[in-house]
Amino acid sequence: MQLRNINSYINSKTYNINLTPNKIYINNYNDILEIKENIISIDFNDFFLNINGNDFKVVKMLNNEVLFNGKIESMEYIYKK
Amino acid sequence: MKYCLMEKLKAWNISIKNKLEISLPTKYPNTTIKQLKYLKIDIYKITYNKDSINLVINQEDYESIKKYYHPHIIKFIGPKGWINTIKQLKRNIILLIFIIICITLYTKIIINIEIFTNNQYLYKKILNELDKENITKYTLIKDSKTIETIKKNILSRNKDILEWINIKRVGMTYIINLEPKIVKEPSNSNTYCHIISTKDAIITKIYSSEGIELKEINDSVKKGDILISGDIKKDEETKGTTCATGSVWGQTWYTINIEIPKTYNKKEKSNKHKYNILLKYKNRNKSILKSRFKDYEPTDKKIINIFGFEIYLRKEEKIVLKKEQYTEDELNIQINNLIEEKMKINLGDKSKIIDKKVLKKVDKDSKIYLEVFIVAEEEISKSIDATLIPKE
Repeated sequence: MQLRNINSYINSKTYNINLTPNKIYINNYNDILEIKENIISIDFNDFFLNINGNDFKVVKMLNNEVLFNGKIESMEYIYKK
Repeated sequence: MKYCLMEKLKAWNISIKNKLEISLPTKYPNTTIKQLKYLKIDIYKITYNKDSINLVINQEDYESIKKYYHPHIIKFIGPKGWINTIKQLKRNIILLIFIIICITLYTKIIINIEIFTNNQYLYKKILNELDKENITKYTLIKDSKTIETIKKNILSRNKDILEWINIKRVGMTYIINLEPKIVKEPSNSNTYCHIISTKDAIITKIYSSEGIELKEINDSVKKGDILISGDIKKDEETKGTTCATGSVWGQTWYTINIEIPKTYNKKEKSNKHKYNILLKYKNRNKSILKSRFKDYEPTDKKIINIFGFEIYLRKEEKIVLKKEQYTEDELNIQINNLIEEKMKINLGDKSKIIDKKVLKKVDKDSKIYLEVFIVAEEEISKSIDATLIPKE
């Protein structure tokens, strides 16, 4: 990443979903609708994201970013009409 | 990459705030976390326990959590990273400046001047000379070239009294070494003097460089007898006078009384010890803590030396004093030491004890009283103005 892009990156309102082994990092989301051991449901501007799996645990939760640990099995996008 | 950078930037941003690690009792952690989300609490780290969760939150959020839950604080976490370092430096700027000034002073300022000489006149004179050259306490150190010039200047101004001078800097101290000029005293050949005896004695040695020896070795002399005469005689006729020089040694006799206790306090170290801090400044000692033992043996270890202040760690080992009786051998050693000590005071360092004999020994109460006869060898000569002695 070039340095001149850092500012725009920090101030960006676009969502980000980063998947790493057994970790999900999400930022610029609207709300967390559901947190359960086997499902996490998150509200974005245009859609809802349902993440299915096992042993989900919140590791970090800030105003606009959240980090989960757990085994991901599937993800589901439900677009708002 | 993007994720890492983002994390880092966020971390920098939030690291300025002070954080708290709290423990929140809950059986349903996910529900609790969700509720905290509605309360808009930022959670930096969540650790799951059996019946509770540990959260790292901003310190300011603690009060709002307290309204709904019963958290308890595990620890305070201060800001981290380089921002924290700068903050800490800003906070301790006065201390930082003070440390820098201290280091500068330590390397640049002279706080003591030591002149090594026994000659008080020379000491004062050199101190004045150094003053003239601006080498005084609490002044900046001089470079080696200036020191060399100062040495030359002092030497040239004091040619008649000074042979050599060296100025050396050790830490914050200037050490001045001197070699005074040895001026040969003019010969007092014009004066007229005799060497006389100061005590009744039997002569053992005669060292004469001027004058006529009137006595020989093994001669018995009385106090005031002329030993080396300043009269220069030829055929019983005085041809001239001189100042007799030399020294005469003789055997002298003394009877001394001494008393010695039969017991002594034997020091025995116990296993108990305490530590204390000792401050030393210009031969003045001050312990920070009051010594807790009545009798103790101190062992000092220097910790630091700042501006002439020396701080020592003192180990005070408790001593138990036990009264013990001298054995026969120990008593003899003690008696000998006491005799030598007493005679040294009377005779001086150069003289020696040739023989000693106990005349009387009385054992009374807890002491032993002795009368001792001493045979010693000492200098018995003294120079005296011959005009003061009436001629026969």
